[in-house]
Amino acid sequence: MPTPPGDEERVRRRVHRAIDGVRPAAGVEDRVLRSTRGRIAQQTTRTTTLWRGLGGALVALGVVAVLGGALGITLELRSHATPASAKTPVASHGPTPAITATPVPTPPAFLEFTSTSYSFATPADGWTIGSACDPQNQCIFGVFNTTDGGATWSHLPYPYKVDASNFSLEVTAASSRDVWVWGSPTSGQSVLAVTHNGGQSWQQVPIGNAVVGDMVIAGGTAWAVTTCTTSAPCTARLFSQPVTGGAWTNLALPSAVQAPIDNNGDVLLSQVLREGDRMWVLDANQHRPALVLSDDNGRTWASLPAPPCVSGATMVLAASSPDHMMLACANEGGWPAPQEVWTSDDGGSHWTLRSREYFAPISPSDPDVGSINSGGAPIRLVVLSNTTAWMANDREDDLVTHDDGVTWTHASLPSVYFGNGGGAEGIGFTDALHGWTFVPSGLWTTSNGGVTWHEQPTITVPLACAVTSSGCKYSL
Amino acid sequence: MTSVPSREDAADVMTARDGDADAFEAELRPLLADAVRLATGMLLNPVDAEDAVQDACFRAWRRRANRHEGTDLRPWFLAIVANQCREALRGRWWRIVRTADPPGDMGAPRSDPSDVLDLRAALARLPYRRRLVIVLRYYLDLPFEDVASAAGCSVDAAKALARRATGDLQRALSGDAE
Repeated sequence: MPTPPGDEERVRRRVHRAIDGVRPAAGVEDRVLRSTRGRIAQQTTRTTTLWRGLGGALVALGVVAVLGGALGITLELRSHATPASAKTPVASHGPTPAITATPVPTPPAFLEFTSTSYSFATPADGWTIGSACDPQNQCIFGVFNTTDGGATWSHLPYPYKVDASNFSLEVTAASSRDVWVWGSPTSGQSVLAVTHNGGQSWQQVPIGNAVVGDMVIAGGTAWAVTTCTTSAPCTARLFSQPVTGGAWTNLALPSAVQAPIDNNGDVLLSQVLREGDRMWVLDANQHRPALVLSDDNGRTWASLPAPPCVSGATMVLAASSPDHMMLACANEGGWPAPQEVWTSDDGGSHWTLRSREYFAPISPSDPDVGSINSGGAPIRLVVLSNTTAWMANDREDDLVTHDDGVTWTHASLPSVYFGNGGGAEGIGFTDALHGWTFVPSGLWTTSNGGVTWHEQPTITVPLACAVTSSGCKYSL
Repeated sequence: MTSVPSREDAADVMTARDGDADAFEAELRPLLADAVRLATGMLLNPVDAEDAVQDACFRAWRRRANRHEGTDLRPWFLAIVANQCREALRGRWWRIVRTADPPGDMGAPRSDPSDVLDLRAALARLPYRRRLVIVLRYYLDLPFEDVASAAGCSVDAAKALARRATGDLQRALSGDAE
């Protein structure tokens, strides 16, 4: 039965009232167009340079083709074409009868899987979660693992309900058997699920109203920090469990990193790091960022100064030892995002600015420091040593530094995938040589410390199609 | 590794040289108000909404060659915005938590009445497609034909989704369990 007109009007009025209160400030159309223009110009510059380089090659190819034609040689450019066998006899038939057939639409047997999170425990053993959506935006959620570095993937059952069109889940793997899925399977819920038998069975860990903000594996233990939302108040806590299973330890985090009231009503951000016996928790909410340190497995905490990032910045933190840390921050509200990289050599007590760019629109404006030249904003940082670190950037290529964050260069990855559009989705290393990075369309791995990257085959999801009056109803 | 530009990129270069960016901007500008409204309704956050529209514009530019000739730009672009919002909703925490105080004063903290906050929370809990239909129908005030087009479903499906979503909202606001 359709909604009665009077009810429709009431719904309309209430929806307008609810959403009008969170509309962007005036001038948003101009800001959007200005930014889009900048991104188009940058892409045009990049591709022009590439095409100029390819232009010479194409001219040369054209010359070859013309000369080849004159010599009776045919150049056929056809990708993935099956070559005709010279030995296959050509059948000779009479006139081919006319065939009139009604084309029957064949449902696709596979959907391309879009990963939202990867985690590798070793260069070979990795896990990913994500979803596949059909053209009608019907989506299915999936968990996959690989034992050959991403060349092939196996689908694994996941028993809990996930809204495949609206989830924020991450995966963290300690081995091919011990894996955690955490985050929010749908808006307003939270989950921390673990398997210790390679995904054959899963257990839910009770975490109350909290949501897991971050997880890290270190020293044979899985560490998870939870955070709270304004709609579901709670106490942010630190959970830990031996990676092979066993009882969870559950400690309250200090007040410095308890979520304050957030006017956006969003889930707040926490990050946890552990190096040796030292652990840090960063509450990177934009109102009151706070960094705390524990040297006794989270029983006592000391507050540390968080670097003075630009107001409203997103922060990502990483460490390569109990002393050496790096923090990247950027304000994603604009493009290019004003951004900075800071390092500490004493476990976060003192911070040094290493690089800073795009602060011209900020008041007061600060001069550039070092060279970072990224239009995006950091979403993941990996510090491999006192000099080398990798950064995955939203709307930008992956970047690498070999001088402790002073100068950053673009990774040898195709900007068509990584820069010109959505940017990277994540990056990680299992050791100094073996790493992975990904975009929605696929996974890239390196086995030589990022000198070269190799694209892994796309994961496809075999689908069962139950034909209904409105088309296929797909299921894994 | 050398980055080889796609055919799309090549088209970008050539058309941009011809001032296509101006034409693109002129075509897009009248749609931006609705795009911002859609993104705001879907993400319920001014900064995320602005980011999503910005990303959608750039995607639309890159994909403009894919649009079938003669099709209406509006539902095509709104579908891109909707997809961008879906990706943002799937994003990880540090992408959900965006700037509350970016440069240029994007908006001061507001204190809204509790019924408004309740409805906003109920909207946030709606599954993606139901929320999309609610926003398209009751915030952008689109006819169901356009809602269906932007949501990629039939008109009947759009009506059914709207009906279910309205029921969800009413149940959430009255505190009834589903």
